[in-house]
Amino acid sequence: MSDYKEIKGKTIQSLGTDPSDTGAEGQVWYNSAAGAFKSVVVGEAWSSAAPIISARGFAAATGTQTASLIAGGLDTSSSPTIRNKTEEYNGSGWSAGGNLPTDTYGAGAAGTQTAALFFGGGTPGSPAQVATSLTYDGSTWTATPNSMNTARDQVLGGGTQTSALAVGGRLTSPGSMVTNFEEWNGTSWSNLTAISTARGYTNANGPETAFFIAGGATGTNGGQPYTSATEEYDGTSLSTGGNINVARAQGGAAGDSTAGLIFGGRGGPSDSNVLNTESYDGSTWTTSSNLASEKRGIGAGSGTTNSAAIAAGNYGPPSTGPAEEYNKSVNVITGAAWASGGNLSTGRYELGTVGTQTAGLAFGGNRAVNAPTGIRTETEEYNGTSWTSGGALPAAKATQGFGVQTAAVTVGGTVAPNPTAGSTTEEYNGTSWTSGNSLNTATVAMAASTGLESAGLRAGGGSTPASRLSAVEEYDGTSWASVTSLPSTRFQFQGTGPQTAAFFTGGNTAPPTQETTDSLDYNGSTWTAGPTMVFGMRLHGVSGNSNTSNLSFGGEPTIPGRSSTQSFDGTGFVTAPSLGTGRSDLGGCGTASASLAVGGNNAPSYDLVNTEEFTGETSVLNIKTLTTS
Amino acid sequence: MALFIYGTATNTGKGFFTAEDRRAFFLRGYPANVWVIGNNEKGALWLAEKNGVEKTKSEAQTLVTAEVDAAKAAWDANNVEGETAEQKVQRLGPKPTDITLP
Repeated sequence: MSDYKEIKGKTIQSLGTDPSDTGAEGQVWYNSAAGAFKSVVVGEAWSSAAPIISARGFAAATGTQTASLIAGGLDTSSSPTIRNKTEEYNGSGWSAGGNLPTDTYGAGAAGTQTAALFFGGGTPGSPAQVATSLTYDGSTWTATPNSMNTARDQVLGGGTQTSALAVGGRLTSPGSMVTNFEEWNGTSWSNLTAISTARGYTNANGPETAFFIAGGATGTNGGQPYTSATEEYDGTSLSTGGNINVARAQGGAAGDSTAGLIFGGRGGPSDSNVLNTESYDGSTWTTSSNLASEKRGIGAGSGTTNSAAIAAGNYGPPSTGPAEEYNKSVNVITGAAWASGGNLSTGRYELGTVGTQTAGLAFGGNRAVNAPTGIRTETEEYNGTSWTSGGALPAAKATQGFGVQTAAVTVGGTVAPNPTAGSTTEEYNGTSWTSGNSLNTATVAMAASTGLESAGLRAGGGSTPASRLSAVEEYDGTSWASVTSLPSTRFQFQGTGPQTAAFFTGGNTAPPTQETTDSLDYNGSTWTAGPTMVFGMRLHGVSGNSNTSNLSFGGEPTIPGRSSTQSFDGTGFVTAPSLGTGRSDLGGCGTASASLAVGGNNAPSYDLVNTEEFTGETSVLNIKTLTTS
Repeated sequence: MALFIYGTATNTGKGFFTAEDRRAFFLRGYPANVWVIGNNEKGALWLAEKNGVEKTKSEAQTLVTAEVDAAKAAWDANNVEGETAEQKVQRLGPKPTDITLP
């Protein structure tokens, strides 16, 4: 009789603790502490990912789960608008790429994030459908000298920038589907043997030598009937593959003809948006985990394997931007998200916030509408669950600050008569505030501040709510000293990290009141420009404890709005999951993976009591206890 | 099938919506305790479990617009003698603007 080692190549072990590395796949062990046999199980699941910046469906998609590219699309969230936006995903968030030269939707794509091919699609012109193709180098789209042989939209494809396939699609009039199948050799397009079933909006992916075409719409303009037929192409000829379980179109695809994946789209018996995912082994499609939310018109190709894919955007209508990642892995991946935290007793904006997600401090602030209005003295302490009253400030102010819950410092701020710039500072010891030495340059509640009570930093701000400052001051636990000024005057920005490795995001640098995409580094003596943010922010909240880890959230970004979040990993910015309730002039503290967003203003709800807690993405081994039942 | 459910529910603080909820369905809060919720089973269950009241999109929009209009009126009525328009914006922030639900 065979034993486990002969079958799996691994002996059953006795361990005091569970293993934590992915090499444990297939391992069975006896956990002597728990008194149980355990193993690592392969799981298949979708988890939420950062939403795309510009909501839309029918964008062209290509690349991998950790280096994905989408371009163009159709946004129906207000009135139908064809997009030219390109977005790039790095496994954590989306950033803007180079715009397409023409607004286009329903195009096909192939290749990688830095070497992509884009072909066909619908445009605002007449005729709407085009045959043009473009190449992308990671920043710029360039038209190829030669176009496809047949202009069409809702065409899909796969391959590389120099060896690609374009399959099916829709003609201009009468909106009928086609059997056209074309090959790109890096220079020109040529017709291949037509596919057997005319279809557009199909789910197709793979390299030229292992390409699959699954499902699709066969009716006029993309409606029913949907086919369940699969065709495979091996670089030479077409063959019939196994039928998909849920006939559909307009979904996503990943992998190739030996290991494929399709997901979402529209179809099924009720002709509705579907969440179904199916995995292919070269002959049979098997049902896998459903998407959490509808994804219609998500293109094909965001994933070169059937174990790691991304689905981004949704045609709707209305169009939305949520994204999800699919992982078939021995790890359980839990997506980052904001959750509601305990409510403040006193709702307010322009408040100071320091500390951590489980030991936070909120002080001062402003109230516009709800009585009592005006600048505040209240201090509240957070324990990760609820807020309780702390010692009140000696005088009302809307202010920033730095430090921790039991050792905090205020930084000037707006004082009476509102909005007068203040220079007073106070220190908190966990119980009460005492007066500290004054700032050299007074500021309203628009300065940035970071650091600890013994080594703090204040930068910029305003002598009035309309007059920016460049002053920078360091605090040594007792007094303030003026140091190297900001490169230019700035307010409404935010800082994280220690005094000698501080990092600042966004703000306002010039009229009219617009948000900047700047980031700045301060090393204790010199200011240097950091990477450009995905989108500008001002009056936002931040968290992070170094100059290589920052989360910026809320505020007044014109696009995509007050609930938006972006993260910085020391190299660049990417989008992150959105707040539940948009807000500006809020407080923020904690780390980039355990943040706290406090109060704020979401006009006409000015004096928010709500808080939110951010938890970053986690990945742990999928360990299961073995039982005999 | 409609993309969203609309409803009203009071944010009671910790646990009102969890990270798991946010991963399971779209959720965004608006004035007047209006919530726009992804239209799936978990989204619908969440609204019911929070003692929420489902609204039509039109009803939800009316609630939001009423709060915006009230805030605009309050903003217009909040004046300090001798204050310029610019100073008023500095003191109160910009006048609230219309909000359109998705």
